Parts: sequence; structure tokens; C-alpha cells
Amino acid sequence: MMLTGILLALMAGSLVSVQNLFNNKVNAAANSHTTTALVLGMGFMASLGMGLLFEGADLLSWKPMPVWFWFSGLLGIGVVTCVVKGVRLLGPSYGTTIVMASQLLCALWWDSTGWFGLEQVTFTPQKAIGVAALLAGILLFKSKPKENKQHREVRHELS
Amino acid sequence: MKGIFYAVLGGVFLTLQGTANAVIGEHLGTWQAAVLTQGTGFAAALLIVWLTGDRSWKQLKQVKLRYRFGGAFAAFIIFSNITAFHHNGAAITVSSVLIAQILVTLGMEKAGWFGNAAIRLRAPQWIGIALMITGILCLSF
Repeated sequence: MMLTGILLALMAGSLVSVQNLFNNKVNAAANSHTTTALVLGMGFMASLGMGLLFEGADLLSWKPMPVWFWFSGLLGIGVVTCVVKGVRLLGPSYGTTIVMASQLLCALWWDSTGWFGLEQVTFTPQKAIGVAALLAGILLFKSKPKENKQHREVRHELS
Repeated sequence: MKGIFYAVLGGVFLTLQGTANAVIGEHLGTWQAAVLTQGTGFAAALLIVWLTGDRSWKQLKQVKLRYRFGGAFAAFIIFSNITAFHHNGAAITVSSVLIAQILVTLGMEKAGWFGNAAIRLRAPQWIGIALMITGILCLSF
């Protein structure tokens, strides 16, 4: 059972990558507003379909809810717009690592302050090591091999 | 620099969205929450397209059909994520999702699927990835 869960989680992560690839291709032809609208529209229809499949007509009976729920979709616009732009400007792998680092650090920050009514989680030495490893990893990933730089300089001189 | 700004902001939005979705999901159930957040997001995004006079949707015809369905993956991502969460809890699930995402993105970029020049992966890049995975595991568990 544990393995099933891990496989599903690995699948979810892989699908996020494939989705980023697809969104990137859409963005190559259309502006970022249109890309965002298309991505959220597709997500809406697919969720509606899956929801009806799993919950049937129950999906369509809505309980009263706080007003801010209606504005939660704006966060999705922020996510799609920023991730697509970040990936386009930084390249897929580097862009993805920055998005992830930001996500993990925000979660850590909010968890340790207990914001948004989250259960407060203590900041342990293990977490500090995690932050250091994450940031060092990104810097190392982005470090250019020396010969590469030289090649580039040569190319610049030639052109 | 602009790219870093967008990527960092994207991460902030993702975390906010995760927090909001958890609260909304608890109140309404997973699928109603998914329909509500993406439906209202879609409506607002359409409004933005209209207000900004963005007519580039006409060019969507040039995009291969399968790429236009990228957004639909969200439903499968939500489903696998939640099922995995029920099996194993947050730590294993979150770290597996992130590690898979890094490795698959890297593989696709290396294969040139994104259309950029293929990246060169040397020792520093691999050590960098290993360090990031260590970081993810330290932060998740």
C-alpha cells in the first residue's frame, strides 16, 4: 500500500513536469493571459468531469461558504502566469528548482510562524541543513563549467 | 533577474494555493474545491484576457492539439496527490512529488523536448541535484 502511494506521488510529480512542458508550448504561440485562461479552463473541465465521476450529483449541491472562497481562483492565475514566465525566462530545470525552493522556504517560514492558522512546527537543525543543502544545490546546478565559459567568450569574440 | 522574480513569486503563489486548497477542501470536499478554484480562476482569467484586449487566442490553432490539453492534467495530479496523501501522509508524498518533478523536468530538458538547446549535465549539476534532493528530504520529514 505504501508503494502504491509513492508511485501515485511520483506520477503526480511527473505530470506536473509534463503539464509545464505543454503550457510552455502553448505560451510559445499565445500570450501569457490566454495561456493562463486555457490552462485553468482545461483544469476546470477535467476536475468537473472527475468530480462527477467520483461524487455524482453530490458535486453540484453547494454548501454555504465564506466569501473568500470565490476569490481562491486568483491564486491559480498567479501560479500559472508566474511559473510559465519563470520557466520560459530561466529554462525548465533551473526555473523549476527556483519555484520549488521558493515553495519549500515559504512553507517552512509559514509553518514555523504558524501563519494562516497553521499548526506551528518548530524549526529544527534538520530543517536548517535542508535549507542549506537546497540553496547550495541550486547554486551548484547553475554553476557554469569552465570550458563552457571559455567557449562562449571565444564565440563572442568571433561574432 | 526577471525570471528569478517570477519563479520565486510562482512558488509563493503555489504555497498560498496549497494552504487555501487545504482549507477549502476540508470545507467542501476535494472535487468541489478543485471545481471552485479552477472555475473561478478560469472566469477571472477570461475577464483579464478580455480587459487587456489579448487576441492571441486566435493563434492557439497553431499549437498541437495535445498541448492545448495540458491544463487537464490538474485533475489527475489532484487525484494522485490526494490518494498518495491518504496512503502515506504529507512527508513522503510531498517529497516524492517534488523529486519526480525535478528529475522528469531535467530528463525532458536534456532530451530537448522544450525546444531549448539541450543542457549539459556535468559533475557539479549532478551533485547540485543530489543536494537539492537531500534538502527536499530534510525539509519534508
